[in-house]
Amino acid sequence: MIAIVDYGLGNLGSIQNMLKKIGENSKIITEPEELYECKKIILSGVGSFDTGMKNLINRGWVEVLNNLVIKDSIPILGICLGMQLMTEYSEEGAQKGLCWVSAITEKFKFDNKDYKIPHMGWNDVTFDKKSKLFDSVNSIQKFYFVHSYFIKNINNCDTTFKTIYGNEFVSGFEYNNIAGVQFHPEKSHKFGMKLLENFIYKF
Amino acid sequence: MLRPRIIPCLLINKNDLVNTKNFCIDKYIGDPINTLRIFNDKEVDEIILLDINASKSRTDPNYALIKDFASECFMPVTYGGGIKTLNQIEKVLKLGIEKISINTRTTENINFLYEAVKEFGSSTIIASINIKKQNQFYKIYDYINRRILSEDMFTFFNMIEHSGIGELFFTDVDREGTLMGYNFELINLLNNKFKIPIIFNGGGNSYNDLKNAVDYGISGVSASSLFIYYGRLNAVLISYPSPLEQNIILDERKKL
Repeated sequence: MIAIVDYGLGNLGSIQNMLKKIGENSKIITEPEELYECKKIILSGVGSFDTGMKNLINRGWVEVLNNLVIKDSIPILGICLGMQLMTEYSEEGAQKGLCWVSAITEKFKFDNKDYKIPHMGWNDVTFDKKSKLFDSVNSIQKFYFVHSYFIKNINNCDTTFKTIYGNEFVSGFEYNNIAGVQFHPEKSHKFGMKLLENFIYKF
Repeated sequence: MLRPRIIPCLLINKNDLVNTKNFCIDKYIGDPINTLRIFNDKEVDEIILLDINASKSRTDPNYALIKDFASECFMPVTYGGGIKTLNQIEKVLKLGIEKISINTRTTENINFLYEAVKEFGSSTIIASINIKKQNQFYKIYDYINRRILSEDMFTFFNMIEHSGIGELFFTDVDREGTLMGYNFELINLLNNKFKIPIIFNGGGNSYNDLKNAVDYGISGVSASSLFIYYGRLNAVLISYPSPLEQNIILDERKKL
C-alpha cells in the first residue's frame, strides 16, 4: 500500500487518481501512525516552506517519517514542496527542513523580465542512467512545473536531474531510498505515469 | 526549455458544456466529461474549466462534476466559477484540481484574493480578469452585473499583483467567442506590464493566431471556440494541435 501523506497542503487527489490509473492502490493518510502499515510513501505539497514544516511538526509527522525513512529505509518520493522540505532550509522561511539531504532551497531571481516567476508550464528534465525513476525511458522527458523556489548545493546523492529555466537547476534527486522531484508527475500525462510506475517497481 | 502552454478553456453551465460569445451563452456543446476525455487523450498542456452559472446564481461549485472531471485528467486543471470562500477553495483542491481562478470576487472584494494566496500559496491561485474596450480605453468588466469598472485598469492590476498571486488569466470580452482573432495590442500591453505568468483568452481563430500570440512572450494562450468548432458552419468537433503543429506554434527558437 502506498501512503500519500496529508499534512494539509497540496492536491493529493491527483496523485491517487494517477496511481489508480496505473493499477496501484494508495491511501491518503491523515494519522501519522497509519504510515507504519505502508510499504512506500509519497510526500507532496504546494505552498510555503514554513507552513509545510509547521504542519509536519504540529501534526506529529516528523518523528514517524524519520523512523520509517531514515531508520527503516522505507522508500519515499517527495513532490514539489515535499521535496524541498527534505532539504536543510529554505530562503523562503525560518523553519529548518527535514535535513534528509544535504541541499538548500532558494528562490528564482531573474533580471530578464522574460523569465516570469513562478516557473510554470512544461519543461524538459535530463537524467543519467543511474536513475531508477527514469529507468527504461527515452531521453525526451517533459513534466509540468509550478514553483518559485528550487533546490541547490546538493551533495552526496546517487543522482540528480536537471532542468533549464534561465540557468540550469536541479529538478530532482535520488539518494538511497529517498527520491525527490520538483515537478508534478501526477500532472504530466504518460511521463508522470511511467515515473510513478518506476517509483513503485524500481525502489 | 520552458514551453508556452496552449490551453483549452471549457465553459460549464449546470452540467453542460457550452460555448459563449461576448459572455452570452451561444450554443450547447455536449457532455463535459466526454470532451475532457478527448483532451486528456490528446495530452493537452492544461485545461481551464469555468462554471459560468455558479457565480451568477451564487451557488456552490458543482463538486460532483468537478470530481468526475478531475479523476479523468492527468494534466493541470484550473477551476473557476462561484468561488467566494476559502472553504470552497479547499474543497475543490481536494478533489484533484491544481489551481483556482477567482474572477467576480476579485472585483467585489480584493482582500479575498490576498487571503486565498496566503492560505493556499501563490501557485494555486489565479486572478481571472475580463477586459473590455470603452472609448478607446481598456477597462475591467464585471460580467455578473454587466458593468464596466470605473477605476483605472493599471491601479487595479497593481493591487492584484501585490497580493502575491501566481498567475493571471485575461479574457478579451469584445472578442470572446467571435473567432475574430486575438487582440495583439492588448496582449503586448499586458505582457509588458507583468512579471508573473499570464494566460490570454478571447478571439483565437487559428493555429497561426496561437503562434502570433505566444510570440509576444506570454506564458499561456487559451481559446474555446478554436478547439470546439470546425469549419464554416461551426460544427462541434473537439481538436487540438498535434505534436508537430505544437512545435510550429511554440517555435523552438522562442522557448526559454
